[in-house]
Amino acid sequence: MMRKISILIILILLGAFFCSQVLAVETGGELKAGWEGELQKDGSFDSEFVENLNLELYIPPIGNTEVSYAFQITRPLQDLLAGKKASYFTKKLYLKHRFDRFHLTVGRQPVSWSFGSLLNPVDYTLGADVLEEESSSKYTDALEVFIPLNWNSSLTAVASFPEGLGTETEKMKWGVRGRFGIKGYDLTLNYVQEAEASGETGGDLDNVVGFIPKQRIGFTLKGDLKDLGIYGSFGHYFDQGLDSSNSYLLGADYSYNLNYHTKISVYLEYLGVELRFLDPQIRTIILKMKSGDTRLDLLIGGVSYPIDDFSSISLMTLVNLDDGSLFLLPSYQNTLPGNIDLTINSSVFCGEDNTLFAPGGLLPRAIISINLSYPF
Amino acid sequence: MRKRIGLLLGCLIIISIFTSISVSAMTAEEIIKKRDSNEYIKTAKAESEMTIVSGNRRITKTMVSYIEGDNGLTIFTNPRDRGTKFLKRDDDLWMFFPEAEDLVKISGHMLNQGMMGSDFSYQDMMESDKLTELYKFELIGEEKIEGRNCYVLEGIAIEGKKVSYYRRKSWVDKERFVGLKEELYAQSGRLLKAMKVNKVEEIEGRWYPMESVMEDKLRKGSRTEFVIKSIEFNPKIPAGTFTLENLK
Repeated sequence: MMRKISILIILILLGAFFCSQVLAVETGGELKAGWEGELQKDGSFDSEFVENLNLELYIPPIGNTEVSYAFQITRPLQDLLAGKKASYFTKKLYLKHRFDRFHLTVGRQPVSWSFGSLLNPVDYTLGADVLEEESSSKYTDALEVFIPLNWNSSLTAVASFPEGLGTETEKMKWGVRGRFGIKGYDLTLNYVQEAEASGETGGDLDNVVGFIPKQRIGFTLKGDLKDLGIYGSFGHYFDQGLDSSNSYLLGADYSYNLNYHTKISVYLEYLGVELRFLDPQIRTIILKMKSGDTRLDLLIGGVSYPIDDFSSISLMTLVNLDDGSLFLLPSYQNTLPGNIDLTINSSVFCGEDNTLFAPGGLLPRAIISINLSYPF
Repeated sequence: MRKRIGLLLGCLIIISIFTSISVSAMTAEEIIKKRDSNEYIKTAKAESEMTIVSGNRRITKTMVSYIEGDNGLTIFTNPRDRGTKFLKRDDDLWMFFPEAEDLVKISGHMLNQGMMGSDFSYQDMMESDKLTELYKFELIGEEKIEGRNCYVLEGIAIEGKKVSYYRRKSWVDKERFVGLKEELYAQSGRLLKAMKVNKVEEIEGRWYPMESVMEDKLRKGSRTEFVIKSIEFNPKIPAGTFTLENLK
């Protein structure tokens, strides 16, 4: 079924492309090349060059129907030189039709339920995804119905197929989300039912958590308290035969005027996650939690400073309040002449042995990446 | 006959004296109201280009904007930001991230920050305010700007009004009633920004600034050039333009 839909979308795309004189199809994207190095605890250093190409076709809508196609090719040059097949990943290949009362989107699409926090424990796809940062797990084969209620309120229903489309409904993941604008606050309420065959989320936490309860209810809130941006979320995770758990997130952001033109942006976020459903051994061995402890308490703080109109520096810190270990992410960004972006990111893991962010085991001592990207 | 001519001349002189008095006696409020009638936008659709310049480096962003009073929708069209959308409804600011197709409410403190790194704030760019409703103006003189006679006015923010600048000095063209120059000050008296209008066009019977440069006075060599490529006043903006549904 999904294959048929993909073929249909490709045919429409090709049709649209060859009618480009009428539809004026445009392409755009980003070419990125970089170097990444990892310093291990034993002092060894590994590095590699990475390049990737993101391409998107911009096809004008045909009436109330839109077609979107975007893909990524990782290491195209290296694979070409090595005689290998390029690694291709479809990020978007969907059809969207805007009916009078609702929108229907069918095909590969990003499903993201961000609400403005840095970490989102109640997203459709779980994982610590930094806002705007690319995460392939967000792109999924799905069917989405979006029903607007008023200018800032809506209902969304999503059905996705993480293990490929089949007739078995238990292999389908689905969720509903209500978004409501009330007195300047953005409130959302959601429910997600994971696919039965595997409890895996498809998110970045898979390696650590392994699986999570198959059902969850999430609530988020974002708004302003005078000049302070505030936000929070509550999640309840439950499943048959597993202990239920909760997550709590509370955050605030603020811009501080340093000298009229220089504004420093700061944010602070607390995330508490109960992991009662996890095997005690996973909690103590992988997450380095103390025996009997079922809750992970993280504090995330960040600051960004614009050096000038074209460059900025930022620092993000993630601290495990339970064991004092921390994870530092300094970053530098500069738009160079020629419209080329230079980004230098680094991750430094600090902590005593047997703490969450201690180097060794799954984590290196530090990671550095230098990237040049060109949007076109 | 001579008596009649004398009487006519006398009347003309009296009329001309009265006329000149009435022009020069325009109050600051009247001048700003006339300027507002040119520059205040009830509804508009515009295509524009914004170039951020710092020293010898420059970056250009292009956009399509819809404005309706306090509401605004801006869609970026340049390659770097293509598909990024901002929706402003009163004091609510929303952003659409095209990569993840995510809709996020932006904190209110961002409204006064430079839009996409420019010297224009989100508020400057996404809404049209009547200056008469935000500032109390006083006429402080007359000067020539690029050969055009201008009224010079000083406006102080009305207490309780949310404004980006406490004081502003405006040079308003005496004939066209359009601002040609603006200096924006902090409450401390420090000059923050200076704006100069380089091109004015008469569109649909009103004079409107089409090209302007906003200079950041605290950062040497930093300025934002803003060029309106096309503007349509009072277009029929489809219902639902300023909604999250349209942003998605």
